[in-house]
Amino acid sequence: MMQDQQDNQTIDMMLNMGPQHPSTHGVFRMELRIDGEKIIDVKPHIGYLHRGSEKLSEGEQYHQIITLFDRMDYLANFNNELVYCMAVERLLDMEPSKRTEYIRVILCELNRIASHLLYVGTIGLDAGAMTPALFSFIGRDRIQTLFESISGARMMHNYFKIGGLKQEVPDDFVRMVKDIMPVIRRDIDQTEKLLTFNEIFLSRTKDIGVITAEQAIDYGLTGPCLRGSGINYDVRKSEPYSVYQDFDFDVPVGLDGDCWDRHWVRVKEMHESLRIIEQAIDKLPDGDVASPLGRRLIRPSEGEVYVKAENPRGEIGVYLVSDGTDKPYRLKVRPPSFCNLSAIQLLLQNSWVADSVVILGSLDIVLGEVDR
Amino acid sequence: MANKPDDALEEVSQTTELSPELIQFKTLLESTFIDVELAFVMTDQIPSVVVPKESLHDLCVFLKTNSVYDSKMLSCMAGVDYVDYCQILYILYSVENNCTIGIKCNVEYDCKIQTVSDIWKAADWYEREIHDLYGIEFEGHEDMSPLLLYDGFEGHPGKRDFPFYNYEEY
Amino acid sequence: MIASTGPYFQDAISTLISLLTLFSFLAVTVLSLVWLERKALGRLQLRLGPTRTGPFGLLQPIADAVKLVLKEDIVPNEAEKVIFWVAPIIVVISAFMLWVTIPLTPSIVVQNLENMGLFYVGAVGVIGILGLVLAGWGSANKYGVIGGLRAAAQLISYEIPLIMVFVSIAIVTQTFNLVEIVNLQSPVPFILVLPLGFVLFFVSGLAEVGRTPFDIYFAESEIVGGPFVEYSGAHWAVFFLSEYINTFAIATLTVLLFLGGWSGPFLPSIVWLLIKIYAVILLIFWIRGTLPRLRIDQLMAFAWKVMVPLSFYLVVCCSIYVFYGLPWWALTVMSIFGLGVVGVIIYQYITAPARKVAEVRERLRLLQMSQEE
Repeated sequence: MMQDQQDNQTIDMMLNMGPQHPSTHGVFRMELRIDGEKIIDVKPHIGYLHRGSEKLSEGEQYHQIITLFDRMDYLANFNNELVYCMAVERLLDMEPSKRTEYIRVILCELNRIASHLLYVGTIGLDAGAMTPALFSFIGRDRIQTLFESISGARMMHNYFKIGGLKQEVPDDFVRMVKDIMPVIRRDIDQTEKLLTFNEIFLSRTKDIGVITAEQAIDYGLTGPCLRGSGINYDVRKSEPYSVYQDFDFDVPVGLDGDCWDRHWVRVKEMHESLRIIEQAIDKLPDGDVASPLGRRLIRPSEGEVYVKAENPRGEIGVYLVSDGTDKPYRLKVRPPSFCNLSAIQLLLQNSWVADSVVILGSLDIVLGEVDR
Repeated sequence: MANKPDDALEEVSQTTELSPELIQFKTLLESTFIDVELAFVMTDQIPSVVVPKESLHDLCVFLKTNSVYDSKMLSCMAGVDYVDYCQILYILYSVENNCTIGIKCNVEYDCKIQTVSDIWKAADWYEREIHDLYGIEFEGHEDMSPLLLYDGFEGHPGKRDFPFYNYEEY
Repeated sequence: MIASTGPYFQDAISTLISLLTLFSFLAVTVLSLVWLERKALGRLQLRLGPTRTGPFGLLQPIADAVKLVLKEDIVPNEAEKVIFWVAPIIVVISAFMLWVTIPLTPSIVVQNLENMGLFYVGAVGVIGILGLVLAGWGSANKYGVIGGLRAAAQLISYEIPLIMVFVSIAIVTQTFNLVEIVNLQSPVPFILVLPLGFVLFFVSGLAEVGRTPFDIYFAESEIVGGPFVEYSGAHWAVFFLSEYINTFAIATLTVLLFLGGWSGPFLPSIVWLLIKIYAVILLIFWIRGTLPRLRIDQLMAFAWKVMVPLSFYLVVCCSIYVFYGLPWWALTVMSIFGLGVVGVIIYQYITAPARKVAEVRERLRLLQMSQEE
């Protein structure tokens, strides 16, 4: 009997997923230890896209670092530029004009919608549905075309400057944004209605990858991943930055902390972003958007700041130490994807191989930001 | 620049008045950690404490379980190289009380520091990252294998003396 | 001498010609299916599909084929060479063998096996599984192995309801002859007599050819193509070919067994058949454009808890019908009853998360209301 049992014992299989894999959302690698179709253990490996952005910014002048921030979370460029500009502005103790702030908020919220639309598409692909991805790119493309007409680039805009914007928005900016709003709303509905309440999608995502509120806080999850677990924490509400206190919007929260709740939170967030844009475009004040600093070299006095903001993926923090020269002494980014991804070991244990990609997709990581 | 935190500390205590949040923070911690040498500074708008590395772990446990600073979330962990020593900044956040506090700990490069990954799971990857970039050893951390760098990378790219260019590529 | 070998010689020649005709017909069909799938999916996804190769992109499948054949055929170092080469051949041969007895009209058929047509289709259809498992194993890739084992589990499970549907049709019609089965449907197609059989056959057919939502054994997002992960160039093209031939075969069998085959007014019979087949194929493509993929455990649970019991129920119904000589609508009633039962089961099973979501939303709404107060 004992002999039989020993003979029948199987060994676990190591399955290497990534860095070249269609569903790891970039160059992420997981070493899965699987027993049949069940995942027993997972060892994540990151760093394949480590470009040393933090180190590089110690060798660049303050103006030049904005481009590095564009390339961290490459799906939410405006949001990243905003948090860096806010950090330097706080260091310089200056405030940009109201018009600048409003345009920044409008662009950031549009960028949030674009990022979440891409997420809806990719979670569909991870679950095996190919159509939502193509639907979502229609809406995302419209937003990117708008961005192109404003900043000249579809991604990597380099449009926000310290204390202002690179240039005034086009004359028909208000009309363009107002025109695009109903179209985007329709695109969002079209994309997510195909997926959100689809029975197969529900059975693939509901009660999969559950993380409780306590665990989520312990792992430092933020953004939709934390709100999916039922914690109402949004930096835009808890510590309003820029002009977010002027707007009336809700923070959608989930309850169970599973993949579907994270998905649902993101879908609802897109509608809230539209609400913010609507209010902002109505209130858009006149004024100057040029930075009072111009192209002058920036030499902030010695000091340190920690600024945080709400990115589509969660709370981004920038810790900036200045030693009085024209380059930062140290710049540290608290990347939301990095923290969200660190919970992958907990989430994947005892799940199915097929669920691993869905769970990873529901965390919505951007490897450019995880590795920096 | 090398002894900047001390200068800043003096400046704060001499010239400016302590903000109410910092006073509250100071009173609470000084009454609890009587025989520990603590210094209090503002990091931007965040009340922070500079703590010797021996009592870091106890302080973290205290701040996590304390009812006033219910710091359940380790929001950020950053290492800063001040040539002689490395300063590690912990930014703690309480979702319920919506308050942020900072802990600073100065570590000499040949010393070890206690891990806080048993208090907050989030510290796991942050500590590995700091180990990669600055070479600080964290005592009690389960797995100190390189996170961002590849296996066998030599040097610590976070340090100030690490060159930007002209180092050997893998 | 020639006179004595004449009939055999003629037989051999005619068989050879008909096999060649079948081969070219299937090749053209596969090309048309590739084009149709690209176009249909493109339209479903609000894009154009191929447009640059010829009018309406009609030459796209040829461009695809040329690209595939000209690509380098890579064999992994660790692969078991013989198995690696043989596996695609097994798959494609079984796909072609299936077609030997499938009639397109009473006269257009290579060899109508009068006493065992349906039996032969059921038997030959299983061979392809072997090829998939061997492909996964032989390519010495873990994704391939997982895919191959998934294929074995999935295809064998769904083989049972498929064969049980064949059995019930054989019980009702008292024949295995495919031409005879089609002819018996001239007043009432079997979809009206056996609606349950149609659903069972179509769903397990989808699983047999691995179309969405059952494309689990080559799920691109998880195991990157499963058994095919190491194949490239012409060998991959062979798998591709057999996949489309199988899709076409399942659509054809659905039409022959349930939709009245080639019978229809005005138009020639072959046109009717092709219209019906392509309608079924478009349905398959539509499903592919709409649904996500199931998970392997959900798939197996669906097979063994829903499909297999229902197929046995269908066989029992058919036996009762034949034994007591009931009118045909009695079978419809029994069949619809079974379909209703399965409908409720599937509804309960599949909407459990949806109901939970609704409940959760309701709780959330109440919570918000209480907070506002």
